[in-house]
Amino acid sequence: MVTVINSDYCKGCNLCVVTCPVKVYKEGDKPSSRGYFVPKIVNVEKCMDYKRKKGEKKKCELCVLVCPDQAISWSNE
Amino acid sequence: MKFFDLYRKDRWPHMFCPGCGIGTAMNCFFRAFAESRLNQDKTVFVSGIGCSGRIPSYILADSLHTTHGRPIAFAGGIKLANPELKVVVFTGDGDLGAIGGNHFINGCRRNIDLTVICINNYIYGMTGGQVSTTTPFGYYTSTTPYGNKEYPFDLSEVAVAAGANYVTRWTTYHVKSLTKSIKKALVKDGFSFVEIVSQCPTQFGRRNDMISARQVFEWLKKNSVLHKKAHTLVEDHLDLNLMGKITVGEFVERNREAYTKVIGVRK
Repeated sequence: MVTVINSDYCKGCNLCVVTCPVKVYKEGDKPSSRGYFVPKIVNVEKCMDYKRKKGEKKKCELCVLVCPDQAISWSNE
Repeated sequence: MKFFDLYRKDRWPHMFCPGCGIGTAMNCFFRAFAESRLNQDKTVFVSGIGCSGRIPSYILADSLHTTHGRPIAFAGGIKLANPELKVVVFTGDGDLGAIGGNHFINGCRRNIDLTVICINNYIYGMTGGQVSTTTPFGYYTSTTPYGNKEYPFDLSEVAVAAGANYVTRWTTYHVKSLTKSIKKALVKDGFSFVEIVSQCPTQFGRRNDMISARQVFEWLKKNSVLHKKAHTLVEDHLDLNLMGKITVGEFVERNREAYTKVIGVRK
């Protein structure tokens, strides 16, 4: 399970970069097809580690809740 | 039911500006709505005019887009006509605090069984960044180029004084607490009021040295004080709100009987 950013919805506000407690996201440097700078996912392992460390069964999901464009979701890969 | 299923994804991406807090408020509300297992076919969403008035058009449920400032009046009518329906009102600070102020106060006083979600972004966003009743003292808008010289309304304190059953305020930064509070507000009988302080980078941030959505978001995070703590500080808690500090938390929880029960509307 990893987070994915839908670049068709993302408007590049970078709120996920601010909110994530383990800094999974990084500001993007290439414009998407719609001209927005979509953030990159740099270290997914940290996200999983955070979950394990806290010992929680639920996901933290702060980025999913905070994303104003509903662009972030969990993929089942 | 996942909360994404409630959205009309065919209308995505939505029309809100990049970094607008309304998207976050929607996420929190529909997460709470899905978790409290309410039936979307038995729920009516009412909205007024403004950016927040667009929310019901992105939801798979019945909705009303009403005249400016009158969502509470329309919602009260729906509730009295059919008390089985759950009525949720989406409104903004210009809608609720300025033109609809009287409806708001009397809605609280009557304690009609509604859930009112007010998205307060401190400015009239859709019409071009004019000063609103909740703009903090000294902040710049398009109609106050020398700084706002009027003291702002504190909507949550007004609701407490007017007699609402449940009043809470959070910013878009406090997503988890906000979701919990909305869940509580949805099941609560009587008038429950949730104020969401949100960022408006396009109109509010740009004129107040906060160019990106990120900066306004961090400003909200830095300036919010918990309600319990605010009362113990040396400064008067009212002053905190007026000088740009935001008190967040649950303000009141009462158990007054709802209006529909008092007058005995038949189901």
